[in-house]
Amino acid sequence: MMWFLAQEEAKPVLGLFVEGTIVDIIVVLLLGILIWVMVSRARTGRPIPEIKKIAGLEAIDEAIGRATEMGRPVTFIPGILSVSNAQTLAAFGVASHVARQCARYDTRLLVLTCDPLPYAVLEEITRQSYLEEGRPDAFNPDDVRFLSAEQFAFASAVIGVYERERPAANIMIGAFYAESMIFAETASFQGMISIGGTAHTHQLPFFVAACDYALIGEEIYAASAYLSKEPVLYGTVVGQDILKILVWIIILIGGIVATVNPETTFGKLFEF
Amino acid sequence: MNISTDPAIWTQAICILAVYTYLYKDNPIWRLAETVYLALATTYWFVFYFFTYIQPAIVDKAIGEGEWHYFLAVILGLMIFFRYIPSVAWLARYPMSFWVGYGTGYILSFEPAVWLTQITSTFLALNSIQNILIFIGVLSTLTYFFFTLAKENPVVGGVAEVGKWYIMIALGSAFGNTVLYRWNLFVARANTLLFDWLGVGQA
Repeated sequence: MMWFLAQEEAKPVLGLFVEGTIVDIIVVLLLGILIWVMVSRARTGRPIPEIKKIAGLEAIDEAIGRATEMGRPVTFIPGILSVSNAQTLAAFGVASHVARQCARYDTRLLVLTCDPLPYAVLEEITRQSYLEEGRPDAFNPDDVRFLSAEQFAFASAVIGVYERERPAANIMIGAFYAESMIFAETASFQGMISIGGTAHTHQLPFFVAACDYALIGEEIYAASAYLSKEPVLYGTVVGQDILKILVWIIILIGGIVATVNPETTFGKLFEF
Repeated sequence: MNISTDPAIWTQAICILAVYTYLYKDNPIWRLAETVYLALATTYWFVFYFFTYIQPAIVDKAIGEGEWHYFLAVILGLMIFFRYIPSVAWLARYPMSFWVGYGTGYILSFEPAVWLTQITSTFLALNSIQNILIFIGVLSTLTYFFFTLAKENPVVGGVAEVGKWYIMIALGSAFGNTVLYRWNLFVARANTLLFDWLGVGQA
């Protein structure tokens, strides 16, 4: 407690540049180049590596199909963080696909949000998706809901929606915390088909245990590309995958070098 | 038994019991608890945002100290309300685009440093079981998340399968840990009801 009291209040500073190492900027540039090359190739129809099957994403269409057959709604929750979180951005891509499918099959979609910014963005995404499917009349702005900015008040409101609207499918993609178990368990209890995906390792176990399908970590970032097959998104995921393979090789080399010579300064190369 | 006469303890106990009624089924008492909680949270956050963001930025900085650039943020923030006016609703996309762009830029600026630290931390001399397990775990788990390499390939598929086991063991451990934590939360609520409220065991 004394430590906190001893600290001076941090003053915000207006700035455009972030302090970092040369390797940081090289990694960002390399990633940018890889993505640019892959996106260009995808756009011009030249071959790029194909994204392999991800079972959890295949299940999204199945879940919407089930809701359509039962004449009941689909719920989509994009996590509880704002738009400065990568997982929320990933959720937007999936939301677009889900909204398109719901518009196509004339299934009611309820989007439940916990932050005002994703709420505004998702309303726009959902509206646009309905428009692109030629069903602007089917879009109901009241079905995109901001429930509460407080985590557990949001959780209780979501349970209320589950109870009163009786959805048949529940899709949760994004940044979740302790409320994830409440959603997944209630959805399971009510017999909904549930698909959960997050990159938060401490919440993933709940989705794996209580959802019918779970998207583990990185899979949610590949989701929108996989679902839409849109060249820009597809090329982005392929570019990132190539960087991951490079990282894999670097770790392997680093391990071998450290084993052969424990005094090696190989790791220092990445601190410039 | 020595039942509490403290109104705060009574409020706490009634709220706990009201929420627990959901364990039976959806009912009016649960709905009341849910609505009261939502209303309290909404009010709390409205006041919190006002005194944390709006008042310091507009009243203190922009008006009080004449730091005009705060007005840019205010204008950008207010533009989001254009979505309620159909003829100029497109203007509301600008603050949203700004926020999504900010989020993406923020992630690209700060994430590489985190990844690089994780990568260099895995340059381990393979001279102990712990180091070998970490090394194999990182590489195999990373392989599991290669989306463009065919898992039908026996080498890639085999390494990815090891990665899947690593992930499941880690998730199982996290699950057990969190279930225990939730149990602790339940025990705390039971303590409130039995000892603080009903005064069980007290003279």
